[in-house]
Amino acid sequence: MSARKPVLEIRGLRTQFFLREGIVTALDGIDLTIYENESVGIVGETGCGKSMTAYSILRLVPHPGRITAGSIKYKGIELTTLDLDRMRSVRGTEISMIFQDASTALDPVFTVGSQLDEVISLHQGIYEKVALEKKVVEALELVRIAAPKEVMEMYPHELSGGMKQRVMIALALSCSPSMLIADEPTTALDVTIQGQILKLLKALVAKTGSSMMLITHNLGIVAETCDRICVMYAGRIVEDAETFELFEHPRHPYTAGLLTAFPKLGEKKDELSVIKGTVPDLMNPFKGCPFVDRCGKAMDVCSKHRPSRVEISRGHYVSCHLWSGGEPSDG
Amino acid sequence: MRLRKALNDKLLAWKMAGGVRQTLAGILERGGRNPMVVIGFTMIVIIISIALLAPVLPIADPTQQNLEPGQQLLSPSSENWFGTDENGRDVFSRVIWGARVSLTVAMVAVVVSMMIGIVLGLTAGYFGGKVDYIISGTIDLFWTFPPFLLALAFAAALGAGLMNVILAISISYWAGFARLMRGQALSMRERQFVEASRALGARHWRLMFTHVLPNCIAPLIVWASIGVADAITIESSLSFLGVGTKPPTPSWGWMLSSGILYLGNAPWISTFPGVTMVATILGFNLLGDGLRDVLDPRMKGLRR
Repeated sequence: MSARKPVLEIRGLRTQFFLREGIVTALDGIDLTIYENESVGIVGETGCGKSMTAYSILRLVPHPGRITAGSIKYKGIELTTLDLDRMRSVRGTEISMIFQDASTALDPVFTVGSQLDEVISLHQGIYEKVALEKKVVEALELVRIAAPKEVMEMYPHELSGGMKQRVMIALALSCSPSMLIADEPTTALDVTIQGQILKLLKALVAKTGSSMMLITHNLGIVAETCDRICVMYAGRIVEDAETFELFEHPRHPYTAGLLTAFPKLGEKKDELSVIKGTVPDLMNPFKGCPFVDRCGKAMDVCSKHRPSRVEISRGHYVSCHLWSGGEPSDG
Repeated sequence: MRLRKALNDKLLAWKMAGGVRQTLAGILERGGRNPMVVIGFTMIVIIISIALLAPVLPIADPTQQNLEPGQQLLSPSSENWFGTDENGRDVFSRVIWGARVSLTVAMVAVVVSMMIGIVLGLTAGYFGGKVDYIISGTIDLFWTFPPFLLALAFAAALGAGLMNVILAISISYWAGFARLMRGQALSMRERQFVEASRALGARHWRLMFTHVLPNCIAPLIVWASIGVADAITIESSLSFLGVGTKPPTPSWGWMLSSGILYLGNAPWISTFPGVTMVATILGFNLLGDGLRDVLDPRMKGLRR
């Protein structure tokens, strides 16, 4: 385990939005390490900063947002201070991203082939027609599109939703990045196609040896696809553990709440359990734990001090006073 | 490295053209089913082809005066289809040669103002912020004046002549294109395919010209079509007022104005160029309005 090389190391990442009404802290001290050949799932509710983490890594935080603190190291290169030209060559070649809705992420006026051409020629410097076509066909075959030569000539509107997502994955993988960020890649698809796409993603990651960061709000998806899961809440990672460990021993009350809220097959319930309350306003900086108002086990210290991140067992990190103050860590 | 960059640039231009071509193909395909587009397009094609063929058509020299007694102000006949004017020149031939001037001025002016508009509007809309603030301010400054008044002022300052008229119209007409382009770019840059392309490492100018611009081309075409009609009106009005093209170059506006004196006994001198002008403008307006209907997303379902 310790021999694994980290691909991406995020330390204390803070991204803030400077609005007229005040400062919104979208990400507040994210610590995350993704190792080689590892799939990490980022789970959390809408607005907790999952996508913002991805945008911050690629340095594509939309205006008026800015990374204000922390470091993002990709294979030892500091991304937060990298000059724009080199950052551009990182995007696509080193770190690639798949978007939620492929039907809006593909340019409607270009054929599939010419969109792939663009990325390949941009990053690999191949301009010759025959060589380009070969590369495009390879990329499409990789995502198991049966008739790549025909699909190449098609416009996005001629393809089905699943096919479009495959093309999007082909685009993202065409320059064999070491790190793939998938931002809710299956949300816009129906369940059957979801399964296919996830299987494909998993197989591709294994085949190309790249790491994957899968962003979703669906615990079922991460359980199937990822080696490790990070649970995010209000711009922080509250729990980070191996998939099996997290599902068996959720330590943070929020994670535990999420897991009980998730209905299981064969279980009879009249009412689904919910976590009461709403997400705190990110405009007001909070001193303590962001989950305190909704937490059933809140103590006095929770609203006063911010919980630190502790490793309670090997590779299982939690940010909660229940574990840092109450019980000693056994890792 | 430099060679590769040059190649890359070439590829970019080619791609941009490809995107534009695709949009145009779509417009043509859907436009073919709209009667307004078909009629307008046919009218324009007929007028343009006659204008283009003017040098080879068996018509009189439009500048050839015939000062022999009894050759002036002749009413339309089999010899002079549209009659002759006060200098004995064939009105029919002058209307056709005048079309060349009017159409050239209008189309070149529209293309020039469209290019200015695209570059400025795209820059403003894509980058936003301070750049947008400055460019938008300039656009609004020009937008405050009716294009005709502005063109009149410029034409008066520059003096008569073909190039000056084109310049005057371009300067006064680009603001509309820029405004349109800015609005389009503003909404396009937020679209996910632009974001996706950025996430895959594309540069600003690549995003602007290969992803934003081709997706904005449709409304520009509509605006350009109606713009040509506007420009013909402006050009004729300028010539009518004597600040447009210089005589003896045949121009519709100038013919209209010189025919006024003889409106009582030789109405054909003004009428025929006037009718032709109306037909041309109608053609471009029909095409523009038809295309607007065709490209309106709400109409898509109905027309298909």
